[in-house]
Amino acid sequence: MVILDGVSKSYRTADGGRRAILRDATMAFPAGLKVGVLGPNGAGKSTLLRLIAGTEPPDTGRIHRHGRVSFPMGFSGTFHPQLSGRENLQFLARIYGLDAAAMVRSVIEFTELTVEMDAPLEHYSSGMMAKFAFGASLAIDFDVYLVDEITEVGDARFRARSVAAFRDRLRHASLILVSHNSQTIRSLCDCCAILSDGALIAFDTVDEALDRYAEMMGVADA
Amino acid sequence: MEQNARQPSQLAAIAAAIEACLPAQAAALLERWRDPPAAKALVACLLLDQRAALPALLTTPALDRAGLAAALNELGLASDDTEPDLIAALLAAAQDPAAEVPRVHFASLILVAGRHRLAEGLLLPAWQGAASSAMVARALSGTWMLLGREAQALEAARIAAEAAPQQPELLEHLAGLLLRAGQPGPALLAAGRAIGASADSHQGWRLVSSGLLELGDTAEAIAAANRAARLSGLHQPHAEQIRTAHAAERPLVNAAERPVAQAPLPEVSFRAPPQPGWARVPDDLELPPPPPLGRAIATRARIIDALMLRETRTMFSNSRLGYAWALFEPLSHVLLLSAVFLFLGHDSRPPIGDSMLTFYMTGVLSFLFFAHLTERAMDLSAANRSLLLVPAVGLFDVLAAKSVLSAMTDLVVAALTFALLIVFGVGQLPADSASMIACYLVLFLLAFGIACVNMVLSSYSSAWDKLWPSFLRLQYFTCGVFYHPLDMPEDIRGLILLNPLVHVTEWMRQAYYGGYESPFLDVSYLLQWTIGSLIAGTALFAATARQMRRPA
Repeated sequence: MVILDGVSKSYRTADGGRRAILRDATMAFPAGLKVGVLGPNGAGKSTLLRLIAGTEPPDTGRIHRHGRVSFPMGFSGTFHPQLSGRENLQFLARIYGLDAAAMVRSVIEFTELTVEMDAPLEHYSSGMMAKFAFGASLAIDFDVYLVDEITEVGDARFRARSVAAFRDRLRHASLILVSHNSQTIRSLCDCCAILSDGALIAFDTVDEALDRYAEMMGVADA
Repeated sequence: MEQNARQPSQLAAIAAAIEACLPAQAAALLERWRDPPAAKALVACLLLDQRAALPALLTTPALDRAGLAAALNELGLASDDTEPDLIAALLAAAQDPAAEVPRVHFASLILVAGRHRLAEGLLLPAWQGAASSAMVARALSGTWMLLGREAQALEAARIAAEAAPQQPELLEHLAGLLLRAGQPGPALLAAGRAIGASADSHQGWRLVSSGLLELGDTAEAIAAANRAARLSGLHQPHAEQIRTAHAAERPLVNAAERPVAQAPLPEVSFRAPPQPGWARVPDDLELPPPPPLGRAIATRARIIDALMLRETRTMFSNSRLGYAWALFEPLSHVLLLSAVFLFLGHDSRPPIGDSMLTFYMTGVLSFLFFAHLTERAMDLSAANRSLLLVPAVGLFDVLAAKSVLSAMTDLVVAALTFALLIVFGVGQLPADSASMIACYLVLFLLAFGIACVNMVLSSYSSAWDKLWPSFLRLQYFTCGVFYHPLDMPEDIRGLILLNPLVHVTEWMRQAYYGGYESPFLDVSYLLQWTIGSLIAGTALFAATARQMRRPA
């Protein structure tokens, strides 16, 4: 469970003004629920995710997290390019208090990057890197998974296993998925909120949120 | 007459050659065909995609419906009720051979008549691989499916779905093929997208159900099957079947709840039911108590340990000389100082002990320990910032790991340097090891407090990154590395003694040289500085940690 308690966050813009991402937002992301957050590009969806992950502090307000919150899925910025895949995994395993050998095994099994595991990450192709990052996120059993858009990586077989493994993880975890794609939200989420102009509004059902979002986008296009 | 008798077989022969995948022979047959009836020639040209010949044939006066019907009959395509449609489609396709819609329409009618290869032949000219339109790709996918070419069919289905991702039918088709190909995961994804594109895609729910069944997720599979059955009666049998097949696996609370035959089973939702007001923060929310101190400390220790390991592996990775330099740095200071003072013609007798080398060394090592620790803490470079993207890692952890690692490195270097001096016969073991350890401990705490301050200041202004090293250089001259406070005139000495590092140097020398009792060492003054720097450092740190945790 993640709770935003009166959270505000804004950024200074290039022209000296301030842009609000969140204005005094209070919201619960209950345990076990798959929540989608829709928002137009630039509304601050990724920032919201970083706030929830705790990698960025709110300006005011508090964020309570119960359980282990993931870093944004498939995000490779946490890895050190000069260290090998194995060393990076050992680092993560230590951070999260897991068995490093078991974690390396499970990532090798999942990504089939066997030989590459001992090469520095800076030598990985972008496809390999994406696989590695996804495998690493899945190897840790988080209580809350944070996903910034769903990107498909690898060949069909890898995608198939990714989907199956991710679904399996989600069975006992909650999900916070930010996306500007309503289809993604509809296929994965139980409920939905919209982030726009500093307001985070929750809707009872996904359909209501999608209708409202379509309406908003229509207005924005006009 | 004889020729007439052979004529009917000519078109059939061309079709047969096409179906045998011998297009060259089919074309040769058409070429050798003397005076074909216009209708049959039109069909043959269309099947062989000889577009140039079509306009002339279409304007031939001899072309009539009866002739076309005969041609289609010859191929066994037309029955009484499909004939008008087929002829219309044929003419539309022939009139505009480049247009996809009439071509696909005609091909589908031929497909329905069971001549799969002919349909494929008609569709292939419009096929442009990955750039094909959704309609052509979908039609070819279906055709290939019927021809048993599942891999090709799957590829075409994928292209179709990509070309028009809003059409649930294309996604359903793709999901079906993926299921057949034994890929339930991607099939689920495609079916999910179909449902996303159209919420009442019963076929989508049916495919989700099959996919989940394949993945062994019986409860959700039943729920999806029920959903499909509710949307369309078509799927009633499927739902019925998997409900009975897996009835045994359904958890039953007690025998009384055992479902009665025919009674509708309670719906197991594929997702959580809608929860109105799910986002409301409960009023009676009880925050969990913070973890017990012991566990909190163990967690921090584990994280700092992991950070140190990572830092160790990357500390000197930029240059191979890094390690060598770390070992050689104190010696280089000592040798340089010796050379300079020798050159200046100074008295070569040290103020304390027998050797200038050990005298310098006792000052340099503690100074470098302090300088390294306070400098390294400021280096929150990109690689270090990325550490902060792991939510469990805090800024304080990074600072602690860097400090401990820096201290440990300098201690090892110090030990090795002293060992080297002893080997060359100019040094000895410290006379009072316990006192030296205590001195290092106090020095570490002092440096750590100042490192905290530095980290905060350098995150606010990069000027501090340049100011601090020059400040350290000043320290080098005021902390007594290469002289003894007694060598200084009294008023200057008073100023120098305000520097806490002089007391560190004095303490080091007192611990190292057996007989030396420093006249100036004021441990309580040094401790005041240490405690002061720790309080200032942690207070500044706590006040600004929020702002400092910005990604670069």
